[in-house]
Amino acid sequence: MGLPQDDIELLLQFKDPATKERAFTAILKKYQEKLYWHIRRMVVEHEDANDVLQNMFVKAWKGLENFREDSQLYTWLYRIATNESLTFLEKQKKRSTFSMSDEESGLSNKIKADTNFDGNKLEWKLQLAVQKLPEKQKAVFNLRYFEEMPYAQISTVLETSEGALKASYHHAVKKIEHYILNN
Amino acid sequence: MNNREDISTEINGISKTLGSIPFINVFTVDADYLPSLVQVIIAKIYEENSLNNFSVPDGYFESLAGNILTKIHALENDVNIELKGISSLIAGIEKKETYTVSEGYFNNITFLNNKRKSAKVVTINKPRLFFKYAAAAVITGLLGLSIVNIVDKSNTKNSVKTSLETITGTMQPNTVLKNASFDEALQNVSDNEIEQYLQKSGHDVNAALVASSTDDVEKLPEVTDYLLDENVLENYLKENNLKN
Repeated sequence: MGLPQDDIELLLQFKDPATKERAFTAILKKYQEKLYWHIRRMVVEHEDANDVLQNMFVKAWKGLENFREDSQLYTWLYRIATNESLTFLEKQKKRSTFSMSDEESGLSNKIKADTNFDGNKLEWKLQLAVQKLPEKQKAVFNLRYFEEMPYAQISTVLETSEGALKASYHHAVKKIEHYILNN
Repeated sequence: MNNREDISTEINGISKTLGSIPFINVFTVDADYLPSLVQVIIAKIYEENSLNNFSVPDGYFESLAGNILTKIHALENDVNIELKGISSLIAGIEKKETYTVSEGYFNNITFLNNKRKSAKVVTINKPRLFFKYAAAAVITGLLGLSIVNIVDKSNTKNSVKTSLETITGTMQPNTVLKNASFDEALQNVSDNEIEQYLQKSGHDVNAALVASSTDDVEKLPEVTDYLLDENVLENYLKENNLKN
């Protein structure tokens, strides 16, 4: 699958110093919202999502000149966003070992702390169930369920085979179902 | 990108429960967050680039090689590793030369080497012949007196023989005299000078004078010739712990 024409144009402009910033601004505007929500569902809190999003775009700026046009720009950006989110969660987990208990620092508690949280609503229960998944399986579920991404593209983002992704998604759905039915 | 209908169909096939949940984004964000995000991110990129890519601390490259070598030595030097194991305090002290030399000292070393002085040669004069005889006479005389003393004390023929053999076997004065070669310049020294030397050296002057009168080593004095002074015998016995 080749690059969309507008992405090709943006990449060409990015490689020209005269138009570099303008091109990057256009890329930001095009993908920032999708990437924000993907990151937000991974890390839950807005402040954390904001940090991760800014860091991932800084990395994108540095790596965009070497971007290989045989892959799609948006899957490349999703890969950076996912990896940055996973790295953030891993660091947070290590920090909590020394400072806070899992209960205090858990993502489930952050969801419950949201001003709009309603534990009786299924959509909130779904979010609580998603946070119980292992991090990478959570990424698989979010990319498929919320981002509606084809397995082929998820495979590019997570560098995992489509078969493994389908199996992972299946197990994730069953775990979530089990959680919702028992809570 | 799959549409929502495809995703719903798939999830219904796996779980009716999840398929029945409405697709709602439960999270919210301030309305002005996303519109202002571009400026924030661009500003951050420029900030990071200016910090990371275009400047280094003053003098960084001048001291870089030294710093790297210092680290390498610190890692590789067994002495440092050993010292750290013993005392991290001392190991932490920078090895710095506290002594100084005047400027240009090492340049002048070459010059000094070229004009290096030869070692001073000290000539050792051969002992004078007279002194040789005097010394030999003293030793021989003392040996003789010691034999007399042993004979008197033991009063047995065998013990005298054994003592004589023991002493002469060790000292062999005739052999020493035959093989030694002394400088005849010793003859230029006056008797007074020799007497002063012997007194200074603690030897009996009379015994030395007796010995000095002997010109031929084959004609050494008899043992009784040395009984001129009992002090000679006493001194010898004291020195050699032979008395009682």
